[in-house]
Amino acid sequence: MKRFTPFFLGFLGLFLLGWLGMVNYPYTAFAELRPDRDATTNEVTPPGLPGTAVQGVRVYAANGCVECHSQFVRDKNQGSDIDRKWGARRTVARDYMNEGDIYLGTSRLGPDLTNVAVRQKDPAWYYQLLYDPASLNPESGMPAYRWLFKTRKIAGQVSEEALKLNGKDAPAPGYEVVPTNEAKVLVAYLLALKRNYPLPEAPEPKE
Amino acid sequence: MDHFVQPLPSAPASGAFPVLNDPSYPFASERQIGWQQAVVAFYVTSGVFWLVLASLFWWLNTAQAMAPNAWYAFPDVPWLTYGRVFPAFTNAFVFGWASLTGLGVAFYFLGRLSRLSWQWGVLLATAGLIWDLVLALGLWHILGGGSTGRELLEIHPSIACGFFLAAGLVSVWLLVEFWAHRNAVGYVSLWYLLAAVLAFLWVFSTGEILINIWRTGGAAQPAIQSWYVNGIHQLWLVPLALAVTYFLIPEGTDRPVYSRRLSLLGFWGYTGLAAWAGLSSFLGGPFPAWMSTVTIVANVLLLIPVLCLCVNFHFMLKGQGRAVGSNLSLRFVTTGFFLFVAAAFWTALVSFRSVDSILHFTLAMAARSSLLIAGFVSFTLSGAVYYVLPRLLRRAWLSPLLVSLHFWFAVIGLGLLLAAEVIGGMVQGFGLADPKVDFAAITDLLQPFLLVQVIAVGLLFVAHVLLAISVGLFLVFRVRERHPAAVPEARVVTRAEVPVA
Repeated sequence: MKRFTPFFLGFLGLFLLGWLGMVNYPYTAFAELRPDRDATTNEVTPPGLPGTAVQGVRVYAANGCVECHSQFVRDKNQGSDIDRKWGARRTVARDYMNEGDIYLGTSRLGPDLTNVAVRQKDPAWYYQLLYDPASLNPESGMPAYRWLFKTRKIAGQVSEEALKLNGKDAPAPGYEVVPTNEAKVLVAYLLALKRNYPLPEAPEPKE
Repeated sequence: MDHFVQPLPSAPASGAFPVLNDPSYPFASERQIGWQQAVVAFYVTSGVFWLVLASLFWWLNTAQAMAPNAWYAFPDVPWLTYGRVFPAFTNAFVFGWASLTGLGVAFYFLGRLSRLSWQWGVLLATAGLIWDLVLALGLWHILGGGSTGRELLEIHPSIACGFFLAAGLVSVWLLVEFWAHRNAVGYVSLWYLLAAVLAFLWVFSTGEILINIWRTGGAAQPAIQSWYVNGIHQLWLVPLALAVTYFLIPEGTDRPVYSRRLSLLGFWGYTGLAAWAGLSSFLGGPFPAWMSTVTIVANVLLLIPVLCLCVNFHFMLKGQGRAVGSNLSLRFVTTGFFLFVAAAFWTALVSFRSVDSILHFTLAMAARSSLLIAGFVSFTLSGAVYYVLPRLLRRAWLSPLLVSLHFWFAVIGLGLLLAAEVIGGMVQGFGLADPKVDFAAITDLLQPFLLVQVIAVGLLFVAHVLLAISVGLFLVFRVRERHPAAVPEARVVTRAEVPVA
């Protein structure tokens, strides 16, 4: 192998093969997925994300939640995801077809969030978790995101949004801790994470 | 006395071939050599700067992972929180240290192995400036809350397109030089260098355009993303570092490349198969089963080209223990190569479905990139820096002791890190695999390993600071006049310059 041009063309050709298989194939094949319509209930799955949740994805991305949390459930024969109640079935390509930003994640220093809204439906719980994870679970490995909240003087009545904080987290008398808009859209996104609808290609495994 | 003096090799009997450093070399005027010196030194020093910054971020990160409630987790300072510092660390490490230093030493080796006029050296200098500027802006944007959250694509595309511009300038320069001077590609090092530059343009534009600009949604996004990360690691950084290995091992051991056929098989096998190993990060994910299977098969088949490289280097290194011991840059490169082989075996092992279902999502997966990037690429490039700078600027290192300290801090740091990641990963993996084990209990079990990580990365940080001090002292104190004998001789034809084809 001496001459540059054959080397150049050979390399590009070889590289193109891998690219066609691993990039072009998913790019074209997954674009053809269509939602599933249940014949009896006429329900369309998967449902899309609500608008506030779409804004919340930006907060999820910008603050690196994906560094510790995954968002996919593996098959019953591959890992204990289903036994851990992180989902009733494995997730498939169609689960993500409506989403523009997908954070599957490669680490589970924190629990999987594919179906976190199935497990926890109360927004107050999420605010408490973001403000001080150790107050919910002293063993938690999650850092606090106090800057997603602001402490302000109570004007008249205590705001409905104010966090109910006890102990060392409680604000000074006359003050309240309320979520910023970033915290609100982030929680809206987390509350939209429920991939618990049926899809024909991923039936729930039988016990 | 000096550890960097090479025993002067005898010139090969086979005859004449062009060498840049030959004073009679037709292309290289004083001014053009000046361009080469400026460009290489600029790329290497900025790379070392990013390495120190990246290691600092990394160290902070490991400390935050161990103690999420400590003051240094900065719950009130968004730009210093774990989730923002982590991508800043990986981007500074990959696009700062590994890419810039890799390119810098690549320019030097290119000059040794082919005819380059350096007429358009200004293009390379511009590319380097753009690259630094883009990275600085990008890190600032990530820390400020603008990260896209996609691994190695975190920098916003409006900034990151500057990388493409810079890499484009480099490749245009390279292609023009190669076509204009009818350069032969008879050296294994050259194959890897050219492949790396071509692959970078392709891989980077694929990731940046398909994901960050066109915003491809759905499951295609993580699939392409994973291919992109694998490409940046295995098709950009690894070939860059292998080019260094293929230059410095023949040079340091004074033996020519053992086998041309094994080199060919290793090169085409590696570049061809690595492009298929795209899904390693998401095995078991929401993709057709064949995509996972292809990745697993590719990861296992990659052992064949890796073994070809092993045989090649084995016969060059056989009986050369003293050379490896006394020649510090060779010591770095040889250690790096062992880490490369270990990385290939580890990647193949954790690809198997039965192993992956236990170890996926654990620290053990991080051991892959620790072996390959913090290990192989980082060690090899350090060795290259220690080899290249004295020959480029005709000076000597101030203190070989600093270099030796760098080596031992890095070896111990990386060893501890790997131990923590592999053993901790197994503890975490078997914990996760048993649904009866509470999630919080796993976090608890991981504590000692996270502590070892802090110590390990702290040692690596010290090692990298020692490299920066060496380079700084080297540039400030021009150790030439004081120890003329310590300046290594570059104007000789070495074994690395014997073409294999």
